[in-house]
Amino acid sequence: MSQPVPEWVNNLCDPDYAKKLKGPLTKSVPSPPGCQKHATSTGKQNRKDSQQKQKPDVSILVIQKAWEIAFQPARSIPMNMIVSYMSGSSLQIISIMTALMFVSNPIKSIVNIRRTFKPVLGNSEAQSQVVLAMVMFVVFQIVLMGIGVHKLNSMGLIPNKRSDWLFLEEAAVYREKTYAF
Amino acid sequence: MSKIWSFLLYTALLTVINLPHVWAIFDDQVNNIDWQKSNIGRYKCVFPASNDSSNDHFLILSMIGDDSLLSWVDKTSGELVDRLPLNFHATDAMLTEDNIVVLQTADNAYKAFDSVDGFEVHKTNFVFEPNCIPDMSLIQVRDGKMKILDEAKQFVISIQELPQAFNRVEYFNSSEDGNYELMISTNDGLYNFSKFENHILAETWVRDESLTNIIASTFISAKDPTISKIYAEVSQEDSMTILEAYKFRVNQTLLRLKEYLMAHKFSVGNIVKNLFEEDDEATILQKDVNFGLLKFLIVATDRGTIANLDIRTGKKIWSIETGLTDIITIQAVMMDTEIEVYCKSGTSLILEVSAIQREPFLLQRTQGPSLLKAEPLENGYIYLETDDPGILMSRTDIPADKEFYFLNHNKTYLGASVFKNNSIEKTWGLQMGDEQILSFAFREQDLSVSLGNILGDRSVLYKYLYPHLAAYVTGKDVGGAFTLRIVDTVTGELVYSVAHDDGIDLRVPINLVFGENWVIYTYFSTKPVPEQKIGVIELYESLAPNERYSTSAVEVDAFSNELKPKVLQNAYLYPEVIKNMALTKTKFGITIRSVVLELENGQITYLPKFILSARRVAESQMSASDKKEFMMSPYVSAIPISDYTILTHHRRILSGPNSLLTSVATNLESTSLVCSLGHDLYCSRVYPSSQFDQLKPSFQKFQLLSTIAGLLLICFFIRPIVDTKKLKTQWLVKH
Repeated sequence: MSQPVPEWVNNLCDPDYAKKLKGPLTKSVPSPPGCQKHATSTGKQNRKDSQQKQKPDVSILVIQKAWEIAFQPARSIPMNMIVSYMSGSSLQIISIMTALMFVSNPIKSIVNIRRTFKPVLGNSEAQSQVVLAMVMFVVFQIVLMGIGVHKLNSMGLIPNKRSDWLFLEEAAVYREKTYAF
Repeated sequence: MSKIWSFLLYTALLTVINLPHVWAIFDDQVNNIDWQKSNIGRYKCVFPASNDSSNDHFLILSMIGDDSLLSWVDKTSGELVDRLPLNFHATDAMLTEDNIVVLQTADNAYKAFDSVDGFEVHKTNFVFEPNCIPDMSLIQVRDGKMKILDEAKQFVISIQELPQAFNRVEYFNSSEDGNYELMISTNDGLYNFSKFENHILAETWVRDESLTNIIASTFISAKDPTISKIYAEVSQEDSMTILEAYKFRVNQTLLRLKEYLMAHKFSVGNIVKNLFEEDDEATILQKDVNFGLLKFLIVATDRGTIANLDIRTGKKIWSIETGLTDIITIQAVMMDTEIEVYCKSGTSLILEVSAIQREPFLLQRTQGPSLLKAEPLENGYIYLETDDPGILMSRTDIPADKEFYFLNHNKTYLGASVFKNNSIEKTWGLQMGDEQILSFAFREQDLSVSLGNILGDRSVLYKYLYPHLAAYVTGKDVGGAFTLRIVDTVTGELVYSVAHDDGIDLRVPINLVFGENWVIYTYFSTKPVPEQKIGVIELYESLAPNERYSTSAVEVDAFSNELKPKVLQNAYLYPEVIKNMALTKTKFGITIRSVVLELENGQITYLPKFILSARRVAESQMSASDKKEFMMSPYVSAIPISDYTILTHHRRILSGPNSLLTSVATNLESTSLVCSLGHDLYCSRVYPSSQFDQLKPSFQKFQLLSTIAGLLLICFFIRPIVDTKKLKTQWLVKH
């Protein structure tokens, strides 16, 4: 004796059953958390929309990244100031090396600026903002270099005073020759 | 495997480091760089220091300046034990029964001293018996021979040959026949003591007192043959093109290397051995010649002895007797090959000394008008003062365009003259009136190394470098006050004057030196408390930093010089009485200038100029940048004596009055030779800025070289290991 097939089995096998159903539609039911609406939608319109939305997002990211890079040297300014203050102005090989590094490192960074900003270059929309960030980067590097220069100056290694050029000054010559005894 | 290797290397390194033994440290340079010739002088009186026969000291009375000197001399060795300078002139002496020396002064007063320890004692109960003339009753001197008789005066017990220059018998004491002590003196200052026991010579020694009382001196540098060779090579290079000259120099250097290798017979061991060996005498001599430490000190005494001393050791190389007792100046001329000697009486000698190690011979002896002064100038010119003005003499022709200005002084007069068109004319003069010139100093004429003093904030305070300046101190006989004046030697203009009236004691000399832009003077004042003072005057173009008024590299005429100095002044207290003062001289003048001070107590010390600065102020007035100035310290009125700066250490120099304190530069910039010449002779080296151009004797050459060699050796072994390791890592091979 075969048992009668239950109703729900027929319904399950009928692909059009869902359409025949009356009552609240799936659209009005909120998706479960974590499921996105468009994931289920397959419309071309939707895809275009999302692409248009993505573009400005990337340039915002690029700009964000660019400013991040630009502010990197600024973050080390307080640190450098403390180091430069702590290492004193005595003429010792370590403090001279630190001071020279403070001056030479920013120069190196400025020379390598394109390499540093390479990941964020090439985006024509964000170009102006990135250039601005690059300018700020240079400014911060110059501030860093300023700390080094100030340090060198306080150590007396920059010949900017009268005594540094005293050796070039010549004495007056007196014509007469005298002897006293 | 690698562990074994590293262990081996580690032990090798340790061995290399610890292998060399510790080298001797020659830091204590006592008696190495300085020497003293302690003189007694001409003996006036010789007697045993005690009646007790166990005491073997002689007491000798002699003169130092115008006062007497009591000396103790060891009878067995002739060595000087102690000296006691007295502040009076003793004419005779005697030894009492209780070992008290009684000295008779010129005005027939008596002073008594303990003959063993030299303390002055009070003694009245004695009868003075002159003791200074030895008992000659047993001695006969005739025809260069001395006969000594027995006590009965019947037999001659000894006949002695006397030296040619025999002067007199200084001491004779015969205890019994055949046992006697005898001291004879010669005219050239030798004192010969002999002691006979049973007619046999038991002890003998000679003391050389010939170099007492130096009145003139000069220095002659040792000639360095390598310098003339290098000079010849360099001048040869001058005539070539750069490329040729370069090739020539390389060739010469290679040639020298070849010579060096040939001298070491091409043996590496030989060279290494030579590197580590202690310097032998020839190398040390060569070094001393190179560094200019070997100089010959030519001195003349008040008895006419001219002697040549090695300045490193004081060893007498030769001495000659000229018989001239009034020498005023000795000058080395003609590239140090001849010496000119000038006497007050007008006699002048020229001695040939081109072979400095050998006794000189007289080239010329001339008699001129009597002289007051003979002052050596440049190029062998000499200013002879016969009258005012004097004459300028030279062995060579003086070019017609030569023009010199002179400022001459004596006790009461300051007179300037000009040498022009081969004749001297008076220009201006100044009579001192009721005052006397107590001290005089001419500004040094060496070129200045730096035009200014660099301040703490690196600005420049320009020095007043006008060269025609002289300073002199005048005062009345009675003392109490003095005036120091700085004058222009050409125009006679008074540049600056300063007066002190704080109870000046003129028994202590007023010393004066004039460095490039500063004058230092010392005086003893009795008010408010008796104290030795040192004054400093510094001359600047402007007292504001970075202000320069003199023109750069432009020839200026002294008569149109309108620039006047701004003056700073300071005074300091010094704990000892200063007898004499001199400036240290170095080759280039870069080393800190120092003032050498001879103290009344017989010590010689030095003070760097930065201590005697006119710009030192109290600490409260100094800014932070002021404190940064090199060697600047706050003003403290009293200058202590640092034990490290006492050049004479344990020695006591009795230089007597009118002694000479001189300094001469060596080829090493750091080193200056200082000599005090008078009754005693003393020379030493001074390093005012420490020995920056010479390695210390304690420098561990062997350790340094062996460490380098060890490291190289280690590298030699490690390199293949590292290479194999790298290769293995690349092939991913494990051990």
